[in-house]
Amino acid sequence: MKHLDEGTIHAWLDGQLSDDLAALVERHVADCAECGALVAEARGLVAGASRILSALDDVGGGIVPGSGSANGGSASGGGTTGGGSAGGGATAGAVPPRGRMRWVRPAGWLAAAGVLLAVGVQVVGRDSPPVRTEQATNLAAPRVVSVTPGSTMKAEGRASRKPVPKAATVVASEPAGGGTAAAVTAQPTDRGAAGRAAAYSALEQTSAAQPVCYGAPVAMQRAEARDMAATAATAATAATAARAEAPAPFALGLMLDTGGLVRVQDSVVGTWSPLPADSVLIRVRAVQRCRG
Amino acid sequence: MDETERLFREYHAPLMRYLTRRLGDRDWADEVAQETFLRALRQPRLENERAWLFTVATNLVRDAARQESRRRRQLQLLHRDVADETADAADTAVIRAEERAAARRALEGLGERDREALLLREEGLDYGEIAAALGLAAGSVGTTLARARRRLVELVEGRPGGRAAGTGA
Repeated sequence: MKHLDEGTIHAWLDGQLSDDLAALVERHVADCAECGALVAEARGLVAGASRILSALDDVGGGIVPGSGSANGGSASGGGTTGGGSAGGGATAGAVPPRGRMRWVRPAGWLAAAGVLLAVGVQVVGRDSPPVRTEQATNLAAPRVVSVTPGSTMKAEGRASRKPVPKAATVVASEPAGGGTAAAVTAQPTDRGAAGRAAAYSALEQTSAAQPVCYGAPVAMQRAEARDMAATAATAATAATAARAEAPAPFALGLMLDTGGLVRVQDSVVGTWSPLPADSVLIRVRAVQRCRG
Repeated sequence: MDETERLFREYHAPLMRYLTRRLGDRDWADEVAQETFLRALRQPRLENERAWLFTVATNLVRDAARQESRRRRQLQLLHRDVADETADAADTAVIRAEERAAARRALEGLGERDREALLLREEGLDYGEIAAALGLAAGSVGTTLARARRRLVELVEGRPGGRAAGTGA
């Protein structure tokens, strides 16, 4: 018998030869040192290839371009979705969050400093001590932008799932537990609604006129933050005016200081102080392409 | 348990593994798997259901893979993903990420037919089923697999080239 070719050896190792042929191969390998060596090598290749391929099982998902409509179409398949991605021996727990999140990773934000995007508005009721954002590196840049009442709650679900780095913040509050923070609380009264509408309107005008540019020089952004604070104060005043018994003046403004502390500006005195415990925050993200 | 459920339970896991390895993305794999099962449900009867499912899935993957922009996008994202993981993760995770990236690069370095034959074999399809799925002669599957395995290992281990296949029968 001639020496064995590699394909025959692999077929033999895979158990895909007929009984007669397998017996011939077995006898030959027993007598031929050269083919015996090839078989040993082939065994290594079979095992090695399987090992290599098994490394591919540990993957995430979410890089299907345009999968929004595609997934929707697939989902309509009904029962076939039940198994999800249970197969494949996935070890999803060890995989970092992926999917659309990868588009907004912090590193990406920093790297893309000149070219931003965004969309999303979130309103968050707060009842906690002053806010400190996670990293000081981004703090010098106040981030505020547009507030659109209609889009507020719609955007929240999606936005909140993403590891959005340091969301922009606009603060409106009353200093001493005096009932509602007129500008944005969810007080379901007509006056409260009017106040919110007025505040939203003013804020929207502000943001439309002066969007903050990520990656812009810090000094410039601080100046913009002061402008924003002034306009936000106007918004709060408008909201307060909408209430029949407007209580104490409220502090309103926005600044992220270099230490990462969120500070608010007293609209009367003009001083900056840490965020009051009962403040109401409007978190905003916006889209913008910066110059340069 | 009706026929549809049986089919799904029996073949979803291996089909997902095959597609995930082939595509490198679980969501994409799931999408193709679902489409495969949907097509199976439309069939009045399947002669060899395992071969049929893997053949359809392979063809769906081929169709998708022909969209070059999509594939390039995938590779770019995989590259970026590995870079991110390498930067962020602990040592063990980094090693796994590197292994995964190396395996992905090696698999993409194979010819399409070699790659598919290898992945189908890993899911237990016999040579006849592989030949039918890929339009090969049954006698050439062993040679195809031998070449694919050798090349895959060499690419991962960084060994250039490789020996000529076979020494004649």
